[in-house]
Amino acid sequence: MKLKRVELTNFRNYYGENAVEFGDGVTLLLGQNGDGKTCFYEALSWLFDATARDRREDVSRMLIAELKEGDVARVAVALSFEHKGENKELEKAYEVEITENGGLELKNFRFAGYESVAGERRMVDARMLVMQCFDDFARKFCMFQGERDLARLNNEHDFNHLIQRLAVVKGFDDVVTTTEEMAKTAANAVRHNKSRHNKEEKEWTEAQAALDKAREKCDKAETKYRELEDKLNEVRAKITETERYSGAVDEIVKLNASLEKVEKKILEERNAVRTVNKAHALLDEKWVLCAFAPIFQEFSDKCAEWRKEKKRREKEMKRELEVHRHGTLVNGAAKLPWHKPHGDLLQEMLDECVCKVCNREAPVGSEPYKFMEEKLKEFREGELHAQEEDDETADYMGDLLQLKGKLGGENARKFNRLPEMIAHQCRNEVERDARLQQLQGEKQKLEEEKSMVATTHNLTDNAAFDRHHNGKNLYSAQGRLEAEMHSCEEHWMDCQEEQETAKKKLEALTRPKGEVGFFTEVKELFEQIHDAAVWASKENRAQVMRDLERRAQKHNHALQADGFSGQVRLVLNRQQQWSVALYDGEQLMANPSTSQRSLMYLSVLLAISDCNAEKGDTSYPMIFDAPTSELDAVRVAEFYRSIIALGRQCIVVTKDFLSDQGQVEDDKLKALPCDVYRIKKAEGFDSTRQETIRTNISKVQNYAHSL
Amino acid sequence: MPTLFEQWKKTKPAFETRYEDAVINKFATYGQGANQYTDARGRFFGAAYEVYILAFFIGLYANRCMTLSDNNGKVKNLGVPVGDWKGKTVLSNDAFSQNRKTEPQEIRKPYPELLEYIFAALVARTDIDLMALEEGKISLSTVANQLRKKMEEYANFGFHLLRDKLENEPEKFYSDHGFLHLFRTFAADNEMPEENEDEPSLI
Repeated sequence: MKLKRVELTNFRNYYGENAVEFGDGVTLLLGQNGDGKTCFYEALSWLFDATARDRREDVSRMLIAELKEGDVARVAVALSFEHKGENKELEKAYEVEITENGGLELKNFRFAGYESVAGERRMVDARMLVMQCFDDFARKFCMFQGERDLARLNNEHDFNHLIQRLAVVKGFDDVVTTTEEMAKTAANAVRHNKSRHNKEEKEWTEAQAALDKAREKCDKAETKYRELEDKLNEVRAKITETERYSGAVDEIVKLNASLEKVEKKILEERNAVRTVNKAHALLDEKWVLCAFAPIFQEFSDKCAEWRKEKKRREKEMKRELEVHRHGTLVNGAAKLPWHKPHGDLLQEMLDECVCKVCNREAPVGSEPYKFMEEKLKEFREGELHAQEEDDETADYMGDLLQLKGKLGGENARKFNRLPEMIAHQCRNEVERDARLQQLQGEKQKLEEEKSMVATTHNLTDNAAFDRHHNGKNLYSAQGRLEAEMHSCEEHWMDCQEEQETAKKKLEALTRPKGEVGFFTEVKELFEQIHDAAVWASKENRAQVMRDLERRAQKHNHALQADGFSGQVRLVLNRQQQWSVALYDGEQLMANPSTSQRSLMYLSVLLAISDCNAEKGDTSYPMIFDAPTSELDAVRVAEFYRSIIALGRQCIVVTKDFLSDQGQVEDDKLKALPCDVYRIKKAEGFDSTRQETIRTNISKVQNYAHSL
Repeated sequence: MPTLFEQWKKTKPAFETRYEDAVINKFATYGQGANQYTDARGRFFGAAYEVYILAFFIGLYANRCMTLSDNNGKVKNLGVPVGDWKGKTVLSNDAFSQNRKTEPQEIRKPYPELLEYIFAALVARTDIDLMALEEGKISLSTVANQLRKKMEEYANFGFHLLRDKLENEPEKFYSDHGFLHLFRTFAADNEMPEENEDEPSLI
C-alpha cells in the first residue's frame, strides 16, 4: 500500500483546504509545538478508524467563528492511495451548520471508499476497503505516535501474532494440530474399547493410561518449575541492577532532599519581602510625595499669612462699619452701635417707658420712646442682616485651613518618612534578590549534579529511579520464589519417579495383539509425527526469529551510533511467546533508558520491514509522529538515515530540522533525499483566542525520488 | 456654594500634543485603561492622566514652569476633569490564580487623596488673591483657572524633561525604577530638618 495524497478540509487547525502529496520514499512534515503536527497524524488515524465519526472538537475553530446563522460548511479528510497496483480513495466527511440559537449542528456524515475499475471510479464500502488494504493489525505496527506506541512491540500477544504473520508456519501448524487430534482419537479408541478386552489387554491399557497420566503430571510439574525459574531469573536480574545502582540512588535521594530544602528557602524569601511595582507605588502608595515636605511648608506659611491678613481686614472693616453706621444723638450723646443695648433690654425699656441707658423717662409717643422703638427695629434688622451675611459668604480661607489641618499632623509626618521608607523597601528587595540569586545558583548546581548522576547510571526517568529505590521488595520476592521453586522441584522429581515406575511397568508387559495393540501403535505413530511437526514448526520460527534478531541488532547498532547499543534479543519464554529485550553482554537490562528502549523497538520495526520486503509481501507505509523525541542529535540523524535506507514509504511528522526560532535547517535537510513540508501556524494570530489560529502547509524541499 | 477645591476639580488641564507620542503613549495605554497585562507591554500606567500627574510633580519639585504653546492646534486636554484623576482598583485575573483557585490580587488601587496634595501645592505656588476672592471681587472660576494654568506649566516642564530623558537614557525609564529614581533625587535635594514634636501645630 502506498499513500499518494491526503487533503484536510477544515479539520481542527487546518482551516480551508490543505493537501500533502507523498513520494515513494520518506516524506517529512516539520512543525514546532502547537503548529499542528499531531493534528495531521490524528487526521489520518481518524480516517482509517472505521468506528470514528463526526465530532465537534474536530471542526476548525476559525471556521466556526466565521459562520453565520444558516451557513453550512464541510469538514473532511480524503486520501488517495495505491494498493496492489490499483488506485483507490478513502474519504470521511460531514457538514456543520450554525443553528438559530447560535448552536453548531453536525450532519450528513459519510465514510466512503472508491476504486478505479476499467478506468471508472466506483464507490465501495469504506470499512471493507480499509480492512483489505490497511487493517487494524497492520496499522498497529505501521502507525506510531510517540515512544509510547513503539512499546506495542512489548505486547506479547500482538508481537507473537506479528511473528506468526512473518514466519511461514501455517502449514506446520496444521500438521501439528491434525496429528495431535489423531493421536487423541487413537488414544480414545484404546480407552473406549477396553471393556471388550481380555485380561491381558486390560492390564496393558491400564498401564498405558497410568503412564500417560504420569507423563502429563510430570509435564505440568516441569512447566511450573520452568515458569518459576524464569520469574526468579527476572527478579535476580532486577536485583543485580538495583545493587549496581544503589549508590547512585542514595546519592539522588540525598540531592533531592537538599533541593527540597533550597526550594523551601527560596519560597520563604519570596514571601518575606514583597516586590513592589515602583511606578505604581508612586501613585497608589503616594510615594510621589517623598519630596513634598517643603511644598507643604510653603502652603502652610501662605495660609498663615492669609489668615493674618484676613483677620486684619476684618478688624478694620468692623471699625469702618461702626464709624459708618454710628453718628450722634439729638441731645449730643454719642450714638450707640446697633447692637447696644441688647434687643431684650430695649423691649423692657419700652414696656416700662423708661430709658435705662441715660436714666430718663420715656412716655409712649415721646421722642425718647420713638428713638427706642427705632433702635429696637434697627436691632432686629441688624440681627437678620448679620444672619444673611453669614449664610451668603463662602469661607475660602476656612476651607484652606481645614485642608491644611487634614494634610498636616500625622499625614505630614507620613510623607516626611517616605524617603526613608522607600529606601528601606528598595534595600530589602535588593538584598532579597541577592539571596535569591545565591539560592538559585545552589539549586542549579544541585540539579546539575543530580542530572549527571542520573545520566551516568541510567536513572534518567522517575520510573527507573522508583524501581531501584524500592529494591527491597525484590529481595523478599526472591526468597519467596526460591522457596516455591524448591518445593516445586521436589514435586517434579516425585512425578519423574512416578513416570519412570509407570514406564517400567508398561515395558514389563507384553504388547497385546488385536485392536488395543493396533490403536496403541497408531497413537504412538501419530505422536511421533506430531513431535516432528512441533519441532519443525519451532525450528522454523526460531530461524525466522534468529534472522529478525540479527537484522534488529544491526539496525540497533547503527542507530546507537557511537553510544552503548547493547544487544537486541528476541527471547522465547516457557509459554512459547516471543518478546523483545536488551542485553548488556549476557546480562538482561531490566530497565533500559527511554532512548535505549525507543531505539530497540525502532530497530525491530526496521528489521520486520526488511523481512517483509525480502519476502515480497504487501508492504505498508510507516507513519510516525515524533518518533525521535527521546533521542539526541546524533541518534536522530542515524534514525533518518536508517529509514531512508529501508527504501519504503515512510511519513514522519516531527520537529527535527527546525531551529529554536522555527527556521528550517536547510543545510541538514539537503543531505536527506526526501520531500519536506513545513507545517506552521499562520502569522498574526492571537495566542489567547484559538479561532484566530490556522495552520498552513508548504513544501520546502522537493526531491524527485522513486523506488 | 462650591469650594475652590471643588471648582478646580472641574477643570481639564491641557498639554502640548507633541508630548502625546513622545512621552504619554510610551508609558500609558492611553484610552484603553489598565489591566493585568499593562506592565507586560512595557507601559506601567493605564490612564494618560497618571503620566500627567507625574510630569506635574517633576515640574513642581524642580520648581520650573514652561508656558504652553499659544497655538490651540498644538494643545489638547485629556477629556477628563481633574477630579476624576484618582485611579481605580485593578485585580489580577491570570490563569495561575484561576488554576490555584486563589482570590485575585489587587495590583492597583485608587488614590483620591493625591488630588488634595496637588491642590495644596498649586495654592502654595500660584499668585492668587484670596482676599479678592473672598470679597467677591474676582470669581471662583477665575482663581480655579489660575491654578489650572500653573498645573499645566509645571506639567509642561515635566513632559519636556521626560522626553529628554527618554531620548538620552531610554533604558532607565523602561523599568519600573526609572520614575522612582528621579523623585528620590528630588527628595535627596530637600534635606528637611527633623520635625520637632514640641513645636505648636500650625493649625
